[in-house]
Amino acid sequence: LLTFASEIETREIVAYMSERFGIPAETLADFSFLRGKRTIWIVPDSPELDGIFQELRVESAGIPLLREMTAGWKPTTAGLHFLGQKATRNVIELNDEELATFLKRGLIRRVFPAERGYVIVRYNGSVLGCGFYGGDVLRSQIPEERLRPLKRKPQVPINPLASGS
Amino acid sequence: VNHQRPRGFERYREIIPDYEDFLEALRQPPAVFIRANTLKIDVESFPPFMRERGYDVEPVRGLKEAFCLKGKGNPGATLEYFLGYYHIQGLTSMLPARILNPQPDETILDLCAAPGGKATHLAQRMRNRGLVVANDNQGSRVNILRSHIDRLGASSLIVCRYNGQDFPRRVLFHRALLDPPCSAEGTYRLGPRPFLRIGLTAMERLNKLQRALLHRALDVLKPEGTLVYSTCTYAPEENEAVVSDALMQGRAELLPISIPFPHAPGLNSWAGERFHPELIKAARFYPHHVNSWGFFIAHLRKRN
Repeated sequence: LLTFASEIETREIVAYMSERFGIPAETLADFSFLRGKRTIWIVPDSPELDGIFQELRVESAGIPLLREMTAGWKPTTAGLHFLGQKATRNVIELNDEELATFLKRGLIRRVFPAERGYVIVRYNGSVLGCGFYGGDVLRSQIPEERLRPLKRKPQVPINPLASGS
Repeated sequence: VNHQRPRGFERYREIIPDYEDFLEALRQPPAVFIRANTLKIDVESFPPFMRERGYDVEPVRGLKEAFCLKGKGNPGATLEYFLGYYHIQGLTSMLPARILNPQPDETILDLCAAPGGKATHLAQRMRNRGLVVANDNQGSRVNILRSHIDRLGASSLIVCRYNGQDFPRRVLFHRALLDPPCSAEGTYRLGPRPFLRIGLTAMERLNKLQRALLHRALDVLKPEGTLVYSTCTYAPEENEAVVSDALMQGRAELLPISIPFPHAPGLNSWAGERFHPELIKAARFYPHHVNSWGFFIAHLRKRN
């Protein structure tokens, strides 16, 4: 069951998102954070939220934002899809060739202007999800099951004129 | 309730207008509709965004977030789908959220929410302001619901897993959506379904469950709260009979449905059973009128 994050935890979450990714604290001001077993969830504030948590058995609330790992927090791809557009730090932009490798969970060997650790990976302005940057190599952290539909069927444009088929 | 054993669509010959056209429409492959996810992109930017990427999209008159996707391919296997810019949804399945018309800062219940197309649509229409409690008791379908929440960024969804008919009465909602399990006859165009062999026991079980779900949904509405009851079946036993039960008991009144898509009124009677006269305010959608799957919608307001 989920419980509300304490004030201290909330400050830590906001500080992490702000320090690691440059997401302004005010962007997170209208949200509540909830704690599951290993996951921090983000949900918009609502006057009804307290009542719902008191009266109902809630399985999940909003979007999973962070997972607690032994070495600290790891941002989720869903959380970065949700907030990543506001990020200004540790954001990596891929080119076409790198996109294909990233979506296949392959390694991308390049020096990016980012610190080691978890990064936000973008392509053509859209947030793809979470990556791990080791200083000269980038590895996808997007869960394999989320990428499976893309792997199973190549991204053929649906428009037959565009695809030439 | 009509206890006649259903045998295909023939039993609907008298109630479906232009029945031969209806049969002809069933033979045609359904159009693919997608819903622009306005939590990620505004409706005006969506068509050029998609066209730039090689997709042929056509707006749908009457529902600004709906688009028809032309051409071949798997719309669930594209980068744009993965990124949550759109959701694949039958056109008629987009109507319940529009008719319920949830407002920002309200609290909404979707009692049988998985796999989540309608629940995420509600959150989208509310711009993630307020809360949508998305309830469903089927584990594997709840996982699909969660994946759609993550992909679409529907952060205002709260997921619960109660049996719908046992949903706690302790929280009251401004509005509710009830799209209960049904025989799904309306989705025939997606490929023949086992409903054509549905037996009397299954039909009775569905009807009983649908009634119990509707009563519980009314229980947890605030006074004057509104509710949309929808199914993707033509069976009056699962549509008018269920809603009529609540109306006859004085628990709700029916509201008119104003929507710019052709539809037929709800039935007043079926197989000797008379329904509440207000049922003509309900809407029946047929594939030869709207190029999607068959649907039934009733819009109710709870009586104090």
